[in-house]
Amino acid sequence: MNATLAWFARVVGASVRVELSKGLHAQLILGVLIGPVSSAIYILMARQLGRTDATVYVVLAPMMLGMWGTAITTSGEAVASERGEGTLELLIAAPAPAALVAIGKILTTTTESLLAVPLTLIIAVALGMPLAIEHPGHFAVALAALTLSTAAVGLLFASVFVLARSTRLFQNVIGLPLWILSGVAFPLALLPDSIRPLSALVALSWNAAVLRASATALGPWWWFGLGAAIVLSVVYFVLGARLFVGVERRVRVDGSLSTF
Amino acid sequence: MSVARVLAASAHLSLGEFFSLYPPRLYFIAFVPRIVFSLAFFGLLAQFLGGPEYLRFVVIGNVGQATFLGALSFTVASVTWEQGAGTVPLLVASPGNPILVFVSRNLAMLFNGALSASLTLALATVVLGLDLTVAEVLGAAGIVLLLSSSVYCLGLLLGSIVLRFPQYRNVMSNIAAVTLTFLTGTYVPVSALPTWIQPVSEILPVTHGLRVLRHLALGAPDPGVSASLAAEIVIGLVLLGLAFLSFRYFLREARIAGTLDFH
Repeated sequence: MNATLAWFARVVGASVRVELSKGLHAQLILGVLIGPVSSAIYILMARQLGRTDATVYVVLAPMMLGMWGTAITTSGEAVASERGEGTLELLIAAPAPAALVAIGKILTTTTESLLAVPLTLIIAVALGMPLAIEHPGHFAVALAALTLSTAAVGLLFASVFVLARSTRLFQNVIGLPLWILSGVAFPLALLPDSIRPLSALVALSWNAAVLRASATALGPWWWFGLGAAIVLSVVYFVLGARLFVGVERRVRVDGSLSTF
Repeated sequence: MSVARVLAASAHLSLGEFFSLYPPRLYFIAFVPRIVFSLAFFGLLAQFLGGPEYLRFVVIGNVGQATFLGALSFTVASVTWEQGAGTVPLLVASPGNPILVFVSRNLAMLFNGALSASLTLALATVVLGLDLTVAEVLGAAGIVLLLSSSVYCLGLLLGSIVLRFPQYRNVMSNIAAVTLTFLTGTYVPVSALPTWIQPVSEILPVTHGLRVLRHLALGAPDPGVSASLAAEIVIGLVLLGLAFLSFRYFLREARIAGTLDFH
């Protein structure tokens, strides 16, 4: 058991090292830069309307969207680039579980994308809508939960992308419905009643709520919200890992990987 | 080989490439929903921040953004696909003008931008309950085609630059799209931007065309329709000229260095 865990850790570690060796690669630049630059648009939208009360939405939304967006894009690009370079078959054929390699890549890019957080806060200050964080300790915990859900959603989509030939097309369309359902940029009350219950299934909606509350006023539900975000992240993670292993087993048995 | 034949062959290639990337069924599954969700997301944000009046402004701005989604990123990227296929040296060796091929091999993306924006505009008329006359609809369609054309010219210029750094093609197109969203009055009126940056907005594609579109669709103050349309056309032509020069410079330098397919 210990030997297996040590082996798994070595695989994840090797994947992290490979990802880090790419340095400041294009995907990372996108993830780190686009969020803060987008935040300038959201902030100016609110500022020109005098909506300083919406600061917590317009500053935090692009940051969170940037992190989840990077995870989804990275998982798609990771699968697409392995497929494009003809190494996806080798990766699946190797004795190490491919899911662990994906986890290593996603953990690395997720951690790197946290660079967007200070950059976004600096842009908010520069544009005259600084975000005062009332509960820094809670904010840090909420940020850690956001990091967890980001990694989990990345793994979930990576497993789906293995089975999709046109990963780049689907990764572009998946984000927006999630951003709408999560109410990350506007109150969920604006959503039609018929789809609002679905928001509870999106970890990002809980992440957004606890992050916003950490910056403004903690409600009695804060810990419940944090717990919901963590539970959903674990569910995504387990689902992603099981799906990845299932897909891996299936394509090894029937030799169908290159047909997707 | 005549210019017309080169343009026709490249445009034909462009269509084939587009339909291999997006077969019609996939287009409706993977691209059209993106247009719908983009409109819904920014519409909800606008409703939250500024109410119905700002919603009208943002929804028409989303028409402009649809041209970025449909034309810009694919145009920038597909210029480098030629390089990835290793066919740039063959183009240079052929009797046709390789710059004409670069300029016209993405024409399908221009029409994709126009189609994306037209779909957004059609949805916008439903969302906002706009009552447009036939003449206004035709005028709006013309403006949408103009917007997509000027964005396409920008995509060509950026594509000619990223031929040197193909791994950064997505970074370049994304940063360009965000910059256009930021500065062209897509979601924030140009007058609300910092004063020092407003002159930059005036020399970017989309700014002038979007003003005319808002005037036509929403009855926004007359921006001086003829002058704005002329400005949008001139900006597009200048970008096209710069793209020509940039492609020529790249090909000359790469031929001298023997690095046509080594970037």
